[in-house]
Amino acid sequence: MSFHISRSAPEPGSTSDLPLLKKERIWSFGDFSAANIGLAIATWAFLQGGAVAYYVGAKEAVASIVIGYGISIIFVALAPCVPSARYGVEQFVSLRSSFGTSGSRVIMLVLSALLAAAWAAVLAIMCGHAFANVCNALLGTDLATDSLFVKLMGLSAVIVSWIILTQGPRSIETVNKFVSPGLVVVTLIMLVLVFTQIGWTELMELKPLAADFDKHMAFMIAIELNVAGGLAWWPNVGNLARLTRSSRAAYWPNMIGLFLASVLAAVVGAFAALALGSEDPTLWMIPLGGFVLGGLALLFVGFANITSIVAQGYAALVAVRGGAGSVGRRLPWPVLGALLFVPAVVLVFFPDVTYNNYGRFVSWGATALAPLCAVQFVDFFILRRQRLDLRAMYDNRPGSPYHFSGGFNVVAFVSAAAGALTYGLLLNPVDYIPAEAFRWLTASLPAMIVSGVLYWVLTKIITIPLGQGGFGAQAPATGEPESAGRGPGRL
Amino acid sequence: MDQNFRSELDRRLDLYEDPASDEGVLPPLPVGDIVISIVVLAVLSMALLGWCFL
Repeated sequence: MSFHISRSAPEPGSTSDLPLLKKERIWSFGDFSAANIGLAIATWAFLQGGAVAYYVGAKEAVASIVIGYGISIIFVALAPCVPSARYGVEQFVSLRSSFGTSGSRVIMLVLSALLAAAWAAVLAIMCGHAFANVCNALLGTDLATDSLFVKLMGLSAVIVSWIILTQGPRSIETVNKFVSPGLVVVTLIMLVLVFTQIGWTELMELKPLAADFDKHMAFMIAIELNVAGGLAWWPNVGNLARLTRSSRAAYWPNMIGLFLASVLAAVVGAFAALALGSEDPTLWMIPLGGFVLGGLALLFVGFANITSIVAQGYAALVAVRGGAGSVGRRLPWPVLGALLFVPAVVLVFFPDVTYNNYGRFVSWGATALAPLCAVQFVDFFILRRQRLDLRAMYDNRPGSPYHFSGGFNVVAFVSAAAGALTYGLLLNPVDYIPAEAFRWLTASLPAMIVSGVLYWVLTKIITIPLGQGGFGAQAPATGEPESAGRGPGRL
Repeated sequence: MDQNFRSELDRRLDLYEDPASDEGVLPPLPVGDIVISIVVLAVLSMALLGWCFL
């Protein structure tokens, strides 16, 4: 994952939640594509591939990864990216038109913080596994996955990530300049090594790691895993797309970068998992590449986890600092970073529970993200036809268009809650047991449909008649809000 | 909202709203772009499902 935010001297807008000026939109189509490739080719892609291989064989893995990521990344490329890019605003600012001026803050604060902490814990434990496996191979030790060594290495990974994070975006960019290309090389080497060990025909005939699963249900779980995996980009991508210079440059690089690169890395991960009979990416490298090459690759992947934590943490910190308003802007960057990582520090002491429940983890994320994405999509693309009132986004006074009721659009929250409930009824994220209807529907897609349709209906019969949301007075496409002349409120 | 932030925000909003200014909202994403990506994904999905299960 590479952030090039610091390529030029930081402008006031690019590091705050102000709408960007033309000169601050520093990313072309190619720049954003490159950033997205870096974001996608990270260690989590291997985890995703391993999780998919647990349920399905090679052919179904390819299909489920393409279909699942394809569906979710189209929504993720549209809902948060296009409004943020079109108006040059941070994601939580554009979210104000659907969830309200205060509601959007709560959503971005809670989701960004929770997801960043959870990803940090999973990746830190993966780092611990990597170093434990290198030790086991090098020194003949027998360090278990829940050993004190793994816990301490996980803790160290979190602390090192925090130290890098405190140095700001420039250090992150420097580190990622080496790690992102390195991970591309490791991914390609892994692909070659898989095919030196096993032929295409043999690979296609390998059974999934959980061979006793109902095949139809297993395929739908694999699709769901990938839809959920793609939705996990939602908290980060809007703030990146904001830096682009056109709506097309905000949309298509997600399909080239996030989609194609994620698919490639996850497919390689799934093939490696099937060939080696393990869903844990840290167990693939040494059997594939031998002690020297595999050991070096494993060490590299171990360190790469740290940069993935930092990149995810940076995106979350930007969102949390913006979402927390003036309090967030006053808190020193290192303090905010430390607060963000506190839950991860706790979770690394429960490595097996955290690491072995990757599917449940992305499922919990999708329970919230699928409905949010649907509400935002319906609000911006269907109800508002890509037109927002920029001045109203910064106006929190009662009676302003996006203030709704007390700063919260209750209709959006009710619609999102209905979607989350739908998800839970189809795939319980606690025990990860699907309902019978799941085999035809998945869980994320019905959750999105329920939320989106309910939001459209309730907006038509409640919000618009109440005169809330500014639906009757959308700003023209030229960017001249009809409410021009009002001063911004107290955001 | 602190004073510096507010004055900078005001300046930027005024620039966005000034027809004579170079600043402004980007043009919307053409609907055709969305349709193309959905159609391509649908065709690709059908082909992959056929490859897997037929």
